[in-house]
Amino acid sequence: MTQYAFYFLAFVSILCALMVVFSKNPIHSVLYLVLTFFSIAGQYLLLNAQFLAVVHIVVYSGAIMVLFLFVLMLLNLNTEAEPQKSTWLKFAAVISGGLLLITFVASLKGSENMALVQKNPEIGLTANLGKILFNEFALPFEISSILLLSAMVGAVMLSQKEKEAKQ
Amino acid sequence: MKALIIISCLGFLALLAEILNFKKHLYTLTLLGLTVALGASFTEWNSAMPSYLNHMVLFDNYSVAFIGVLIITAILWFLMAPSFFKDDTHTADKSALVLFALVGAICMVSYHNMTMLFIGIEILSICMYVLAGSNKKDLASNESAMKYFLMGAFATGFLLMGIAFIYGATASFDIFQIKLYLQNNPAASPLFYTGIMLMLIGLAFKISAAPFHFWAPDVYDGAPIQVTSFMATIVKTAAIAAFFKLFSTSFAAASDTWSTTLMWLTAITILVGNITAVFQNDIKRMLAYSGVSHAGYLMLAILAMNELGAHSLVYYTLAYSIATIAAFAVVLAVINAKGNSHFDSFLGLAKNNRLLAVASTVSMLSLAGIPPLAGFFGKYYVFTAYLQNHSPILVLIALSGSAISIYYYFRLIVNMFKFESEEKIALSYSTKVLLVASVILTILLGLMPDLILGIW
Repeated sequence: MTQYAFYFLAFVSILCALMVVFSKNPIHSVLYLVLTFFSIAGQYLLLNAQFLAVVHIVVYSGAIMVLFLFVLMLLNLNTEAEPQKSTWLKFAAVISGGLLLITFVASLKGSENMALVQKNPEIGLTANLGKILFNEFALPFEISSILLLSAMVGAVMLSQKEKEAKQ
Repeated sequence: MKALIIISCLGFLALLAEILNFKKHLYTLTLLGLTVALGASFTEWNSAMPSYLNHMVLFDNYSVAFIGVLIITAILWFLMAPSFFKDDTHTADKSALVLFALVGAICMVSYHNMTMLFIGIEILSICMYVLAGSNKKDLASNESAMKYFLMGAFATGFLLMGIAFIYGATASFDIFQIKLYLQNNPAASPLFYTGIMLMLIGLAFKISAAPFHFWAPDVYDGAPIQVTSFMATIVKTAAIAAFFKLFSTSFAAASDTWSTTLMWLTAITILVGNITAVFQNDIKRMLAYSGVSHAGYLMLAILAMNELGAHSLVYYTLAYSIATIAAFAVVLAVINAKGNSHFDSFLGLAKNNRLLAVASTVSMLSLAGIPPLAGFFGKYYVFTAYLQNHSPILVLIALSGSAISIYYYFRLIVNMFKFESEEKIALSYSTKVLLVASVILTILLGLMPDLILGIW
């Protein structure tokens, strides 16, 4: 049963990912991307990583994709305005992307019995994640607040209007 | 740890300055706080309990030395950049972002767990993206921020993928556990080696090593010049320290797989950086390419993989940062007076302002590696460390790179002494202090390298 679910989700995610690249209309691309994200979230559920699956749906399919749609609709993209890349660039991109793919696939060889998988199969459950986050990884968790704060300060600073220069 | 806490608090204080209305004193307060942090971090030298909170961070002598370099550079940077905080609207925001960037840099040199490395890099990068675009009405500044952001996010993707692969293979983020894993499994899983290469790419981007350097000239050129000097010094120092720590601790036993790649990167970086710098007509771009070539010399210390490599790295980054900050201070003064940083703007500078001419001559000579200045001994020790267990081919390439670099550094010096010009350039008090301090430090470090190398 799980295996069939895996193959189905894998098929859907690859198909949708290809459609993201090949569809002409950018809105369709974004919608296919949402589907891709949902199917990947399904894979996370199969891996017993419930927290990751929920966060993935909320953040990626929810927030980020809505942002994408807004930007696309505001920009009003159409095919004429799309910049055309030269053939050489496309050729080079395909070759290097293909090489990266080969490396990634090859590196998965023999990864069925890795140390990580045997360590704790329950690691993805929300309760376990919380325990690790507040014990072992307390410092990175706290330091992330500085990361978020600086991003927030930066966003405010860049969007704030300059005061008129005082004479 | 003390420096990390003090500077974080200083950042929060800077944000409060807007509300509590002490913006006028913020600059003095920041300098004071950084000095305190410098002193506090040195109390941790040879400390008995260097690691904190489940070995997330490790403040051993290596980290403390780099924190020292970072804070000294930051103090010099603040002396150079009071004009950056002049505009009334964003004084507090900019100070806070700079201080948070410094916090990120400190995380990057003191990490003992790859999550801390990643968070450190992200804090530093996000602050730099915003600061690069802080000159909001200038199109070049916007472009540089956008370019830096997109390229930086792309490189972070590689880094994160690498961390994930290594975690997948070793089941740990701890750099010491990864080292143990490699000792126990000499034939590590292919996932591990792919992870090393991905992290190599991500970090090479951050130190702007060729062929991942394409962003550097454009970003350096477009960003406000104070931010550029921050990127060229503090960001580069933190990234190279993180690079060194990771590869000399975790991946040392697997050096057969990555050292050849890194050697090629080093050779290309030194040659591309130096040769391209020859053709630049703008000082900012010239300094950007010179920064690329210095990343190459620094990578020699990573390849050396010995004690002297670590020590020479500290010395080299300090010498390089001081000289670069001084050079940028001169460029800033010239831009303020003449409106651009073209090589011709430096014509006759020696007659106008002795201090500017002396400071830029000393810093250029130091960057070129002319004895007896600090830059020479930096290169000397890095090369010595590398030659201890490698063949001299790469050092020969590095030496020919230095020979090329003399051309463009001397071009600036010659320009300054060539003609006479009437314009006077006025300098602010803090710039004078900075220039005098940098000249003294560069000569002092050159005459007495044991000040840094003898502390171990």
